[in-house]
Amino acid sequence: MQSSQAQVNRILPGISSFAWNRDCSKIAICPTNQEIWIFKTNSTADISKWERIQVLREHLNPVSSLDWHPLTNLLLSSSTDRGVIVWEESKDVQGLKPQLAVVKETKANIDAAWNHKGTKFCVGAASGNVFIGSFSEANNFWVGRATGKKVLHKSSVVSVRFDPQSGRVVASGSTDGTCQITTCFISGIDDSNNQGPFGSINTFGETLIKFQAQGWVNTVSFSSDANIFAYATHDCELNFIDVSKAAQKVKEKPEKVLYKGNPFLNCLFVNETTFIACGFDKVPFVFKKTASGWQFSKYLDDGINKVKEQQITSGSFDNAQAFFKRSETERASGVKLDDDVSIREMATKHQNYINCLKIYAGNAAKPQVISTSDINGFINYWDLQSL
Amino acid sequence: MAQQTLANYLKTIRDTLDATLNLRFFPSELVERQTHPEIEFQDNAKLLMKPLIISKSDQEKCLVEASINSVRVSIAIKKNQDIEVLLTHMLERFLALRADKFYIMRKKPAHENYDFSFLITDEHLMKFKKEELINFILEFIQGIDKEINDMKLAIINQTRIAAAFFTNALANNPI
Repeated sequence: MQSSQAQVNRILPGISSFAWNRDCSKIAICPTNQEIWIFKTNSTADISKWERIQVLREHLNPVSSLDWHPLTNLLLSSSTDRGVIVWEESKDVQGLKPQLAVVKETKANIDAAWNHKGTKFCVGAASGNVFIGSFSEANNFWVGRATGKKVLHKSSVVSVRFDPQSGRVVASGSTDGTCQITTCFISGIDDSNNQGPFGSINTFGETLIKFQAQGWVNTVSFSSDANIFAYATHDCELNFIDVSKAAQKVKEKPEKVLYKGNPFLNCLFVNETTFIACGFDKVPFVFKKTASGWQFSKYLDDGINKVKEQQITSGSFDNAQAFFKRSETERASGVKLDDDVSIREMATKHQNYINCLKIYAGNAAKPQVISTSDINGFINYWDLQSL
Repeated sequence: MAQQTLANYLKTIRDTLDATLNLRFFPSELVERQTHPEIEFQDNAKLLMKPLIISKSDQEKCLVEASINSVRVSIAIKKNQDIEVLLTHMLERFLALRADKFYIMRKKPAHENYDFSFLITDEHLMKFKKEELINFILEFIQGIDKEINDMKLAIINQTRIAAAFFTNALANNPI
């Protein structure tokens, strides 16, 4: 297994989520099933030189999200088997060891993230709940509790993020077409985290603002100073909101940005004026804030403007198509789509949609290189220095 | 002119599929630890999109039903004569028996008025490229018309020859 892994520059059968550790010496990858693979990267970005050192088999259903916190070195994994596991690097056993984490979800967990200090985590669930988890010293395990008695969203929560300054509020995007910012202050953990616009919050489970979108909300993101909030919806809209006064429940009007392409699944603020989003279009988009507002700036991959030389046909179905092409003589007169009718593949680095975006070099406040993965198991790296 | 409308029809289907084939892995909200194509179960209206009908004429149309993790494409082709109805039915059976080889083919059409259905889930998008799937469906629509026409002509030809034999035999002429 190891040797066959080493031959190719991709992870087979694919990647559904991944996470780097602090210095990118290790990577956790979910290969679209219930396992988590830990690779030693040998300080190279080339997948064929990576070495698989551990396979974590605690989850029962496909893992949906991974997050490795740089400070605490704890790996958080959420799975559609209703479970959440916090993995720690132990001294007595080689590799990662699971810590007990209890989240009272009844359906499935879809997205999970740490706060900026790694002291608590949030989990978005298919029941519409957002769970805030923290370490319980008395019981010696992680406990997640819902943000309120009432279910927060009417449908699955597909994206959750803490605000990066104080961690006292959590933003959640859901397939019911709403996006909410909810308070999640836990005394004893958040007492010293009082920076940023949400630093004075001391309630739990109170919805500060709620945005209504036309379609499913796919991803949410805060800028590193927590003043700007962005969410992307499935109807190809990006919304930027100034949330510097959201703690006082002042709701600013979202600034809507339309772009040409397919929906986004992941997004990230590079700084307060630059924003990166990627998803079904296979390339990361760069948005910049100008004097007239947020605007599309460029693609990080030029390939999207270039048609791939080799024309794509329904090649995988060739055997099945024997019906249409029964003999060599008929093949000549067989079905062929006109050039302007058939869809052409673009020469992008990713061949399939991008499903995960993580920072490779730099930190959350100042990302320098980002990495993106697609469902076919490729990872690409994008330098942000020139932006 | 007829060619032009076919091209427009196919182009519209292409653009619709391009916009709807943005699928992701999605666990069920109602049943724990299960993932199913939402469009087939239709038990959760929040995860479905409005169905779209693209029609070229009364009989020729294409229904695209999309959801968060699956898309169902149903195709109806024109059937003016009884023989076309018969041929379509036979072709439907032929394809249903071989549906496993087509991966995305649905063994039964999803709706009564439609002849063929495809069901595409997020797992298919992992295996095939989106462009590949779209081109296959377009080729299928373009090819199926031609196929039925060819078969119809072949049948007419054969019946003509058979009739000639029959009348010749009646007239007692040597062949």
